[in-house]
Amino acid sequence: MPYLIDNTRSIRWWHIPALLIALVFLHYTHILTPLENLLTRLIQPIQSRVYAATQPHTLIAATDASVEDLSKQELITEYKTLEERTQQLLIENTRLRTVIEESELLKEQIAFLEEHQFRYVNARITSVSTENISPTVIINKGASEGAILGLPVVISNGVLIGIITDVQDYSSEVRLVTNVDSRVSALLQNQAQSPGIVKGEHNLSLVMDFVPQLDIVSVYDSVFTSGADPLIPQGLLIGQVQEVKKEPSSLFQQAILKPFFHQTEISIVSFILP
Amino acid sequence: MKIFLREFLWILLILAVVVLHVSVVNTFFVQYPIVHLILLVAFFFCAVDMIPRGLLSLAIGGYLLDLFSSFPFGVTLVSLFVGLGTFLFLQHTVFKNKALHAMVINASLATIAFQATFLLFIWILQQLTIVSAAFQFVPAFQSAGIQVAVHAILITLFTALFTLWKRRVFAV
Repeated sequence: MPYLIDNTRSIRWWHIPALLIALVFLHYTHILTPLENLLTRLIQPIQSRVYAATQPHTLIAATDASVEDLSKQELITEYKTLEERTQQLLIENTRLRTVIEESELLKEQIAFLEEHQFRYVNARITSVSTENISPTVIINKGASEGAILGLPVVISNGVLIGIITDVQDYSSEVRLVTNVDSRVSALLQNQAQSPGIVKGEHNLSLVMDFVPQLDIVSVYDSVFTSGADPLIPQGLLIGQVQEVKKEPSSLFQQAILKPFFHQTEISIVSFILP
Repeated sequence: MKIFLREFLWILLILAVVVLHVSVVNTFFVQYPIVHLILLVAFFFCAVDMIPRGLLSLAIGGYLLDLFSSFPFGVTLVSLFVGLGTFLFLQHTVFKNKALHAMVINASLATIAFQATFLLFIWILQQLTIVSAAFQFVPAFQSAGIQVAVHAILITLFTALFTLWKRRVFAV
């Protein structure tokens, strides 16, 4: 029998595939699930702090700066504050217009809005997925807090950032809306309330497809969830139209959207319970 | 008691390496990481004849990485073990010494084996539509090439430093 090393703690060649098969088997039979949960919970607090500390905006704040640099940083901070306030006002405006339109149509829709008070669970992003090949993040809440597959994940001001695609007891995987595999049914905030499907493009931006050709789509129109997807309520903001692509021979037009978040700047999120 | 403490510290080290890899290394690179910390640690242990420790480090670290992976469980683990297996095979069958050029070649070929296995898995899973068809192989190959070079340099460097330390070259 071939030995890899020649001492009392020698390892045979078949030990390696045996160990591998054992680990995979133990995972899929859920025998090691308690240990997995324990390890995940152990490293999650450290992971979330380390991840937050390595994000660009926190690194900038941590560096020593001269007077000139402080002024520039103050400007940057002020700009970001104003941008966030503008975003909040835009969201609030979108929500108010939605409430007014629905209350004018039917009384039941007002009751529908009152009934659907969103229940949130706050969570923290602890890491990106191991391979980091597509916009997918890991959060520190899982099935024990009510997470299930397909729940929408938002940032604190109601912007949809992704959908839960994998759930463990104490952590969940979130596929961001900018992921090329992401598909969300949406409506445009225009006169026709045009429907469409929002999907990720190049893992960086968003495209709204299947918008009826005859509907008028303008730049800066907001896009929000239509509620047609299971577990995703209506009214969550997705992005803003930056460009409209129209081909006369086509039945549909496309809108290029700018998402309301940057992956590197989000660390606290919430998922909406059904 | 001493042994217990040492083993406990070793497990903490592996957990720290996993945290560094998923929360720091993965976030610094736009496309794909150019260094795989768990693989590097396993290579180092095997290069300095601590093979059981290297295997267990890879088992624990690879298992945790697979938990945080968006691919089916086992893809990362199997790829890592293929890489380490290649390293051990070359170290004990082909290059039976610890010459610097041997370390460079061992680390390079082992990293290539790891990346080849991993990308092969991705390709197979793509054909079965389990993995997104948008996975780009060209940037993956580019980062794999850089990873090979980085691993070769780092393993050679660490092994050389460790050998010098063992021979008390740095002792006053």
